[in-house]
Amino acid sequence: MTTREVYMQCEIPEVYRVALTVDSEDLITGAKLEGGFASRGLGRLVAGRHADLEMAIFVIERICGICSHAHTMAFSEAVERALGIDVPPRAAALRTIVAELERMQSHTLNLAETADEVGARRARDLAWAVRAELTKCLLELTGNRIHYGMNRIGGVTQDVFQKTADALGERLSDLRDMVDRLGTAYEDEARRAIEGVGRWEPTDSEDVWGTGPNGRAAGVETDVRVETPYSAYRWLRPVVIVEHGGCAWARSLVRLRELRGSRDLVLRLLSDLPSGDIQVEEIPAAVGECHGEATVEAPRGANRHRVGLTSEGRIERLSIEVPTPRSIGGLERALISEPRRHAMRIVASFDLCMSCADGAP
Amino acid sequence: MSRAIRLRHLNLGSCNGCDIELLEALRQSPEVELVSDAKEADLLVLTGAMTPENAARIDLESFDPSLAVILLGPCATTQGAFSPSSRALPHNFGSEEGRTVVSVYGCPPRPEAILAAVREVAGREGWGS
Repeated sequence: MTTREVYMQCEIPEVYRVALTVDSEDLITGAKLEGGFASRGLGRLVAGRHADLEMAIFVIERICGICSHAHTMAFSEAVERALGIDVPPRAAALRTIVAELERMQSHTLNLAETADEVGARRARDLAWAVRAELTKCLLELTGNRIHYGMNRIGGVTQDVFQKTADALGERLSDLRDMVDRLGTAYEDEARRAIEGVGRWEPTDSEDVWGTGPNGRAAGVETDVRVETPYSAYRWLRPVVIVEHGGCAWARSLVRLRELRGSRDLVLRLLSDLPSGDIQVEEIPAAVGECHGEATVEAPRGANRHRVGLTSEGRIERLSIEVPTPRSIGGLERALISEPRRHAMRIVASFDLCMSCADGAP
Repeated sequence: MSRAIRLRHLNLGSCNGCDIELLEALRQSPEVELVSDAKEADLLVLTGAMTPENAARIDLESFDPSLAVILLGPCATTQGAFSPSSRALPHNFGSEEGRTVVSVYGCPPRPEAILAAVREVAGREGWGS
């Protein structure tokens, strides 16, 4: 059988592309993701010119425009563990509220993209509409729509007035109806086009294990928030949402269900915000060279930061493991034997983030 | 306006922030659309700091010198937060004589600011109503 190679330009063309080999019937026989175009040399930047913690967190936030808070959260937690800092409960709650709002806006962005790939216009527009509401929440809470600037070592940068918290709670309560309509629109318009498509279920023999929603859609019960709780998840104990089948529909369904799960977590936090400070009184000086590491559940899965500090409390080294590389192998497997016309919707359903994958040092 | 304003978007190595706000701006404004070929475009929109890989793949010189340009966010203009990195390269794009260039600031710029820039260029180039 003759095969030929085709390139599939993905998303914004310059970010990454997928090289496919297809047979004479246009079935995919091989897939390889090509990326690495957006590496901005953050590791050296942060361990050199921007080794100061306040400067570093500003740059680290800019690893990614979708899940920036997950990066500053992992980084702050890692530094705080290195220096032995316990963040006040109110700061932990505020961090977690922003993290869950960020997860929701990231999921809606992917739901919009996947819906768009299969021509589900009502679902796409509703996903964008939900996202618009979420960015309003983030704007009210942090002053920013993207790159919230909320995390700092030892706590958060801003407090929230009770009036703002109440308004936020109301806005999120009103969102319930819109999220339900998004779920129905997905059932009606998108489900048929993505159910059973692009299956990937990691097995014991596979070297790549799933993480985040892509893993949970394949029956892998994995969630850093529950496995090694940090911040307010220590007392929140979220429910791990798992689906089976590992197809594009299962991945979308996990994200749809997590929209509701995250919303409920934020409402719980807002209704019972701990009182007190939002920042530790003093950042203790480093006791000699020290290092810390922290893993958080980013919208796409486990995101680990490891940081080494000098005795002056400056960054000596930083390594970051983002979730996307753990999904790339799965995507390449999920594409095999699928008709080429399904390729884009499968790629969309995996919700890759190349600015994280490339940008992390 | 008689027809849509067509944008060719090039990501030189961004964090996705500007790119998402651009999508949000497009969503709010049906009279602006994205095209995949610069030859069909009315203007170019650049996001991100230029990485060496993209500098090798994207030939900015090859674009029509009269094509208007929007530099979105500080990265596209001055490499922004990544400026001292050896992997964020400066480029001279937009400094040519006769080219209309609009820089939009904010990290990332708000969708309203992006639309204002697009309309500003449309006005200067005389496409608008």
